[in-house]
Amino acid sequence: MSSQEEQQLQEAKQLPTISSNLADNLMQITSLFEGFPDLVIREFTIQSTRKAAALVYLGGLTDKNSVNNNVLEPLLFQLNINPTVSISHFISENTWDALTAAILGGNSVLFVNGHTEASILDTQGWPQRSIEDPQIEASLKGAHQGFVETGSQNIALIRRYIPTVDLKIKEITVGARGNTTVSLMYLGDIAQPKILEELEKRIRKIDVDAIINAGELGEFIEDNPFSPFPQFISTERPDSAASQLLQGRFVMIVDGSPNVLIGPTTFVSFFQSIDDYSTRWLIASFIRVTRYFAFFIALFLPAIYIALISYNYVVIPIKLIISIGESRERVPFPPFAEAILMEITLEMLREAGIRLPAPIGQTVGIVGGIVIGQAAVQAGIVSNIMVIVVASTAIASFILPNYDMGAAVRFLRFPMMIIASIFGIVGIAVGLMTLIIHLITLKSLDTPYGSPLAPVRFVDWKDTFIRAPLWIMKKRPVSSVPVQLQRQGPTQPEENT
Amino acid sequence: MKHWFKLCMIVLLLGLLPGCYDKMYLEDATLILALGFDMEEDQFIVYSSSPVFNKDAKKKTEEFYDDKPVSVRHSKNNFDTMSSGIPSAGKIQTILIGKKLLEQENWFSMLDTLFRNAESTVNANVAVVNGPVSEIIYYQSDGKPPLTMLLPKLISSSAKKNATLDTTLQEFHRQMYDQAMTPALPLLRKNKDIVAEGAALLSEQGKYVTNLNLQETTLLRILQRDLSGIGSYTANVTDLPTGQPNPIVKNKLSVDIVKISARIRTSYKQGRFGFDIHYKMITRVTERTFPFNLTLHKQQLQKQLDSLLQRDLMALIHKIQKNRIDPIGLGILAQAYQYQAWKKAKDHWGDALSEADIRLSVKTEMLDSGVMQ
Repeated sequence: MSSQEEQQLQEAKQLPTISSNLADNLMQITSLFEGFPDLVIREFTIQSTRKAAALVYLGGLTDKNSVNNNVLEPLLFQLNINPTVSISHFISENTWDALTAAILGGNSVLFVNGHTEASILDTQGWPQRSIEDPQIEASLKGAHQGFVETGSQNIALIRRYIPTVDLKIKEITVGARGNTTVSLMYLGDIAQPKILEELEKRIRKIDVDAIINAGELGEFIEDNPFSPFPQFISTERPDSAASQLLQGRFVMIVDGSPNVLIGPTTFVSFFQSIDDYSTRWLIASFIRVTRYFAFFIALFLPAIYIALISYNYVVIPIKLIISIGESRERVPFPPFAEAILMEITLEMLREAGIRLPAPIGQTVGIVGGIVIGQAAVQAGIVSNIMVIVVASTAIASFILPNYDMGAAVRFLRFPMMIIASIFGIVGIAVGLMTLIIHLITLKSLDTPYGSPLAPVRFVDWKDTFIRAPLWIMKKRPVSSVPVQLQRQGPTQPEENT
Repeated sequence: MKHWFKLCMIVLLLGLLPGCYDKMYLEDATLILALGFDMEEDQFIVYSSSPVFNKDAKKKTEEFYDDKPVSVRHSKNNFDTMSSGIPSAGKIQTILIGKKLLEQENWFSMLDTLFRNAESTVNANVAVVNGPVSEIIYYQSDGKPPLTMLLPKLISSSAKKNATLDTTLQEFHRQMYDQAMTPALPLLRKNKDIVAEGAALLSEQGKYVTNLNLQETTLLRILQRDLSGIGSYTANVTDLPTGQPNPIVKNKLSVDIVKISARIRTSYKQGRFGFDIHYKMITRVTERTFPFNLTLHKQQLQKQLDSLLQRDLMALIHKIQKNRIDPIGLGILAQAYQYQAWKKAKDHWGDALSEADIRLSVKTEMLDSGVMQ
């Protein structure tokens, strides 16, 4: 490259806006996109004006059909530019920043010789997954559409449930390199403006390279990063996102992530599943009570086992004590070691099952089950009762409808086991108290996490331990601090006549 | 900084908790499930029986005895030297007391350690053994569950049928210390197998006084107004116009007493306590070995049953009065309704009751006469 050319390049680089010379612009583009083999520069002459023009786009991110049929064809064979290009979205820009961003976003840019503005043509079309059943949050009666990796599609999926102009979206770009679009979705007349302000402030504060997944966003904006408990519901279900929006909550959609974040949340909202509302209320209530029961089993059963066997065996009924004694007699480890051994094996089995493809994953389950259930007991490594304890704990921890909450419970089990092995039942009581204290100090977006239990909000109890009939729940939950509470019946108080 | 402070506080507070000094794994413990006290040849003996946690062991229990105990507490330490595990009194199911020991003065103070230690249970059943305790403690039968499981089952199931009593250690303690009543304990005996024989009645000081047979025990429960479930009662019916008497089984009438309600009036006249007891009972005929037209003469049979029950209950009351004890707990009523008089008599309540004027009437109602008729 000659020094003159270099100088020219240097000059071009310094300019923030495009020049009217097509050749200069193209040189600038090629220098900006150095190392982009998929950058396409299609030069041609516009039929109507006889002007030289160039269309610039990234091959992998654009829809070829759209470029060929809607852009090139009219430009090459028809008379005027503006009305002829049959593209829905059409912006003119003159800054290099905007144009670069547009090309990187999958748009095509049309440079025309003599014009000081280039046209951004919406020809986006990157590789996409079709909309499928939600994988982690399968449901029996809910919709079979899950979120995908494209933010705009996810927004569309939610919009289908709430087609109202009150459904507002605030777009915030996060990440210096990733430029990820975070769409903050809320119902304008229901959601609390203070929370919106706080949430927006927190998201704008994030200063990182890129945010790839919704979970990363959550970690940057949650109130208590040291807590094991999730402070945002992360869901892949458009229907539950829509239902949370209607309760006055905020939905954060991260472009590129098939999960959306919902906040502010409460502890009890992790025990609600979308199926609850489409099952008969009595049955749904029964299932919900089972979930709370399962929460305690998953958290405390191994700890209780350890405490009872090591300290407080007097409270076990006499017949059980003898059968436990008989099965413990052969085990060489103390109860704590026995329990830790089994629980860790179980966690490993679970993790192994996730990573392996489905058919092999099942095999791991079966092999693991046989090893734990039969061989370990026969070999005298663990006792029968321990196997029952571990199995029921595992089942209980999978009953929780939210993965993050289930994971928190599985993790907290271990400190509980340790404290039980040192202090017995007293330790469990202290552990439970610590847990409760922690839960009621937690906040999610400055709203109390323990609501409606602490602070007590009896109005919300209709949807806490039981799921009351839908026609009774006339108000939105107070815990999400909505501006407008009424969700059924007259919005205005009836006039006395 | 704030977090570190919190963490330090938590660790400090945890340090205050009772630590692991009393840690004992279940399989290392020798659970004393039955404890026996007896006198043999003027020697106080403590027995214990514990389950063996071993699937392959043929004998599921192990027994220890201490024939030169310094004290009951001390013999627990002695058991420690004999057993593979550490003896633990937390799960005692049955406490057996030999009849011979009950004839000693002031034997009750030996049980002191059981009430004093938080670790030991007060829910154990107390039973009196008619004969040597060792016979029962060392009893073993192939066809039956181990003794430690058999005894509580035997006592509780027969107590449910009101054939014997179901007295826990705590209840026994109360009966001993309550001046208004005297203790009553279930009575066991080993014939070929272990059988419940009814109840043993003790004096205020805890000495053995007399025993009741199965039928009398049921009647005692009726007098205590503490019938648990259904009490069965069988009597000879003599003065009824019977057709052909059954030669093998005499004219027997059995009824189940389903429900009782009692009204007791307490009085104190001329230095004597008076108790007017009216019972109303709902019964169900379960056996009648003589021909009788129940539909026509139901009233007649009811009257007959009334007088039979009244006769037997009165007989039991006389027996109690004669022995100067009060397992019924009439003293509690006297204390409640005639406190001034009771206050004077409380130190010798047994004597006062023996002179009391007790009147009793029974009115039964037959609910049905069985399925067939």
